[in-house]
Order: sequence, then structure tokens, then C-alpha cells
Amino acid sequence: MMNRRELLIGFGTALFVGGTSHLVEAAAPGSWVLYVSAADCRVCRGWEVDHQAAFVHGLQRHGIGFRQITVTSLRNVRDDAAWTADLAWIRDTYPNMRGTPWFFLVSGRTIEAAANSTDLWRMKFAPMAA
Amino acid sequence: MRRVSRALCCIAALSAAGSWAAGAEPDRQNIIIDNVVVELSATPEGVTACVDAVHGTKLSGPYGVAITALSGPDAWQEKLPKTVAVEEDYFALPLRIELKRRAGATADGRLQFEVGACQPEGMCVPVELAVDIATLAPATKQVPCKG
Repeated sequence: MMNRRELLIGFGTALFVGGTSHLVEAAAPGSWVLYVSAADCRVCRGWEVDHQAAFVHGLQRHGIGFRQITVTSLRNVRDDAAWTADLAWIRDTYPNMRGTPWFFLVSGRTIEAAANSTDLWRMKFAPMAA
Repeated sequence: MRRVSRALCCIAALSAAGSWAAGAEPDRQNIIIDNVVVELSATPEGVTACVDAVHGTKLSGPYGVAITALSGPDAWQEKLPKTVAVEEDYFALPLRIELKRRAGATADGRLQFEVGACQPEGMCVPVELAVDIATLAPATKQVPCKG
């Protein structure tokens, strides 16, 4: 018989899987992921070396696009020079955006999901490319 | 790795735009924001800042440490603002920065330290720590950074 701890873990896992599957469904063909990094963000470099190629390839298999912008410094992730006019609305949706990396799942003019760390990327975005 | 310690000169102090952990000693004070720690000590020539991080946080080397005199920039021997960066991914911590006053100058303004703090959950954020050096009692000897 399961003890209380096992029940809680199972409940948490079910919630997580449920939340993740919702995101995977939201990542329908035609949607795309925007990745925001900074030239002086070592965490970003690490993610790019270790995960980016496989992640992008996985997204492509599901018909999900990938775009990337790199700001000069994580000091100013909102730098106008990096955010082209067609992407600026995403930045403007997050007025408190700070630091890097950021990941956005975009469908049309809707942001379906956002993550501002590689831990959150692993939880919310990596399943989309599995 | 280039040593930041010798590159700078100026003042010292404290204030706080975040959580405080005031040291028991009147000539030393700590400020901690987003796992970044700056401990300031008054020295006969100016101030010493020991920059460190806790809970697995690292400080980006390319981002550097930017030091700005929010008031009285002319009181320091080195021209501020100044950024010290290293090519390595992260600074070796603790990082010791000495700021010396100009001869005859009184340095009682505010200093700001800005770093790129890379948190263990996988994100790097800019962190600013401002200190008001007027509250630091003068020390009689150099204080080592705690490793």
C-alpha cells in the first residue's frame, strides 16, 4: 500500500504531467519558440552547446519553429537594437523582463508559455521537442 | 586571470537596496541581494570591498564588476565608473576590490556595485548593490576577504 509520501509524489507528478501535456498541445504546428540570450550570459552558452541543436531538431519534427535573438548584454535584455519590430510585442508583454535566458512559446499573437531559466525550460519546453 | 584587486582605487561605505546583514564590527558591513554578497571595510586609504556569492551562484566574468560612484566621484583616485571583467566564464570568489581616496578628499558618498549573477537554476541576472560609505567607521588595519 502506498504511503502518504508516495501519494504526494504521485499527485505532484500527475499535476506536472498534466501541465506539461497542456503545453505540448499548445505547441501546435505553426507555433514557434523564441529564445533570448545575451552575449555575456554563460548559462546561455552552456545551454546552446548542450541542448540547442537537439531541441531545435525536436521542435522541427513537430512542426514548431525556432527563433533566437541575442542582446549585447544581460544588463539590458530589453535593448531595442536586438528586438525587431515583429518581436517587440513579446518583450512589451513582460515589462519586468530581467536577465537571460528567456524562452517563449508563441502561437499567433499569443504567448502560450514562458520560462526564464534553463530549469524552467527543462520542465516546460523540453517536452515539446521530445 | 587578471586580478581585480589592484586595478581600482576609491572610497567605501554602505547603505542598502536589499536585505542587510550588518556586521558586528562597525568598520565592516555586508549587503546581500540575489545571493550576491558585498562586504565593505573601511581602510586608512579608502575602502575594501569583498565581493562573493552564496547558494551556488556565480558571477559572470565577461559581465564584470561595474563600480559607480553615485555621489562624489572625484574623491577617488581612479576614474569611476569603472568595469573590471575577466575572460573566464566566472570570477574566482571572493573578489577583493580596493578603492583609495584622493589625498585630502573625504569620501562619504554612495558606491554602487553591479555584477552579473548566474543562479544555479540556470539564469543570469544583473544585480546592483548600493552602499553608503558614510556609516563605516575607519579601520586601522587591512581586512582579509573571507574565502
